[in-house]
Amino acid sequence: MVILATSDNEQFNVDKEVAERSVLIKNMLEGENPIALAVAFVYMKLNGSFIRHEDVGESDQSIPLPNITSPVLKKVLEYCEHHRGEPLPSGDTDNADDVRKRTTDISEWDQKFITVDQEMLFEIILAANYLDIKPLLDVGCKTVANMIKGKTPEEIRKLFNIVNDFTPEEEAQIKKENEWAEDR
Amino acid sequence: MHSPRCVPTPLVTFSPYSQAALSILSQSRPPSSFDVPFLRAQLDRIESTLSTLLDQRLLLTARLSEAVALTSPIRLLSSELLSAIFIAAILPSSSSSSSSTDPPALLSTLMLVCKQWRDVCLCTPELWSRIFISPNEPDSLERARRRVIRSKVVPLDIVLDFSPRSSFGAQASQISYASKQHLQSHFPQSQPVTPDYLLKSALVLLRPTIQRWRTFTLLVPYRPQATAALQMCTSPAPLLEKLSIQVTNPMLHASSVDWGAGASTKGLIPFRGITPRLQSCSITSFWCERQAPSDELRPLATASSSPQLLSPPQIWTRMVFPGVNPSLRKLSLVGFWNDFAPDSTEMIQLLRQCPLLEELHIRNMSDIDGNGNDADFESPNNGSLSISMRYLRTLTFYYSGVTRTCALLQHIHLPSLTYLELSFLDNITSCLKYLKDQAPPLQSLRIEASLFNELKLMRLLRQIPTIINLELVDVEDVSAHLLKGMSSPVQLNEWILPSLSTLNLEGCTSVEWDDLKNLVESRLPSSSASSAARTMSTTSSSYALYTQSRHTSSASQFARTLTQTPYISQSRAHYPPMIHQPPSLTPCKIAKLDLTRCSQISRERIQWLRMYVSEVACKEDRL
Repeated sequence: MVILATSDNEQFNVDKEVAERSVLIKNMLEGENPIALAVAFVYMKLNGSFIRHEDVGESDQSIPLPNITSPVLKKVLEYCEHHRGEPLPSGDTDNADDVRKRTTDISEWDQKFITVDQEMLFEIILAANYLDIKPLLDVGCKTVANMIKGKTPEEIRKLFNIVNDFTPEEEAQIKKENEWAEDR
Repeated sequence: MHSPRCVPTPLVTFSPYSQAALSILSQSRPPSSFDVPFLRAQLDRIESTLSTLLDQRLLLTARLSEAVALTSPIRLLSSELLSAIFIAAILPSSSSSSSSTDPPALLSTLMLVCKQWRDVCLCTPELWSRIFISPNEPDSLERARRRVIRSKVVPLDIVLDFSPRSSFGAQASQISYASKQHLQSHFPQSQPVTPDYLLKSALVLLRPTIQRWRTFTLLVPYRPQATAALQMCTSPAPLLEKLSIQVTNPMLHASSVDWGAGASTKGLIPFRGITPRLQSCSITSFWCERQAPSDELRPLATASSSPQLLSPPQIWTRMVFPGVNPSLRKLSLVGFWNDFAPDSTEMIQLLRQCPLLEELHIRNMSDIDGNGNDADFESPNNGSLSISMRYLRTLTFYYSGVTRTCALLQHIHLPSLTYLELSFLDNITSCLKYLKDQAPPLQSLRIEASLFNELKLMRLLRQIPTIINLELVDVEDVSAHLLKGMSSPVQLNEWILPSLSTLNLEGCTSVEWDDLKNLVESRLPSSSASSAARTMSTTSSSYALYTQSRHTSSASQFARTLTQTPYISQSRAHYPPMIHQPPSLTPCKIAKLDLTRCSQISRERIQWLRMYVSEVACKEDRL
């Protein structure tokens, strides 16, 4: 078992196999990323919110996750638990084929899992990015991408509460540049 | 930065004028007792106050929006994550089963949302990797230039669409001023701005990026244009994965295509033949003149470790399909006519160079006449010509000439073939024989608008129990006998096509209702028990009849005897050898049935079928 500690001082007991869906945690457990562990420990120590167990790699170890709150970690662990045992994506992120494949479909379970409010959605994306869980990051990105598709700029602004900070001239320039474009 | 939690300084202050005005208005003195100039002055003051208040209101509203926007969850995301989201939104989905049916987002839409999104778009090279140039879009060249710059070093997907639907003549005059400026900076001003000129300009622009090309699609109306375009592709293309060259009017010639080098195909080797990652190649109606080995081809002969000049097949291969390399997975050859159609030897030679091929599509080719190199194919035991395509899974012969098709099926060993299409091929009975000899592990077989001996087809189907999907479209030779053969086991527990779940009989008007009904019923799970019981008494006789009728001329005789003749004992020693036929007590239920243009099947009967078959198609005409 692995103990994960969130920024709001909650601890989660997690199967090692589940926790290792996160490349970050996997590397920490294997001692390949001691700097990340040290940084996280110092951060938590300074905030007075976390007391670390002595040895990483032992059964009673705690891994501090200072960027993640307990509700978000709960969701992330739900995802990792469901996908336990599935093969992890290859480490070669520069492979264009991998990128293209990863940006295609979302399974039915994943779709249901990611049906959350916007704040939680973006928190999950951030957590997936921080923990280096590529499949979850892809699901999050694809979900936001699907929210964008088929919408006008104004509709997107309303959806995400974004202010139009263009001057009329800047807006006209972009429109002119894409006058004939069909963005193939 | 403003913290959303900070308490803002009050911006609105109420002046004494506004208070005074309100008090005046609230008084109920009669209007006649007022001084008119005084009242007007009071009104002006109120107007002024209102205007000030409105301005302050607007300012507050804007600040509120900013404050709310600062708390927007999407602001949590870094530029890198936004970039990943944009790539997912812009790039097309590769799967048709995508959960989202929305069209891909437009890059221009994303750029118009806010400055941050625009900057992220501009700094994400992948978003600019697709380059499309067409005379239909006057600014496409200028846009391509921007994309070349913004895509930085990422692989490019290039499409040059100069096909006739682009309406060259009508659009030539609409090439934009910006495009003309770009064109004239590269070419003499005297050169008229035509689609040919635009095509050449596009290649001049894109040629320095050939090393980044991931896919290249060229659609032109005439062959000389394709030749001239490919002559400009002189650099190696180390990243090229997909190449598609399509000539839409191969029999016509352009009035003139003079790009300096001319449109001669002599020695044409695009990308210097260096395309190590090429996996998919599609050539439509693009060929080069047949000629004796030229000086240009001599180095190739040396490079390919052959001390002699290239043989005719090698020449054809090199010139028609210059990017051939051993890593090719998918090959499509379409539209080769008369002398330009490859003969069987050339095809074998070509395939020999692509040992990893997984898909092969041969469409629209003149048939070979049996002369020349194909004389070798007359010898059935010519082992030197045979090759094994161990990875080939999909094979399409569509109007490819029955002689060529037979020759290829005779000499290519297909141990992994799962999909085969034989369409518009006249009489394919010989092809069926070669297939039967090989018995590939087919899962789908499609035969369209071709003739065959029904008995031979039944024998083939019996040899391939792995077939799940059988499509017989517009074939007159499909009769009741084939359906009867599939409606009962030919031997104890041995059915023809036991795994069949999809049956397409589109346009097969000779199929009768009773036989179709029997076929569906015989494969229902509920009837399987009774069917099995019936099998015990009739199976042996069925197979005996089958073996007896093997020497008859058609399946119809076999089927007739099957239904009319009583049990006849026959020694199992005469049975044909069993080839990978697992015992199957109950065949699969038919899940999908296509009876489009089968006018002999009434609507009521279609309704009956729908009670037992999950999906029954019966459109009158193909859409």
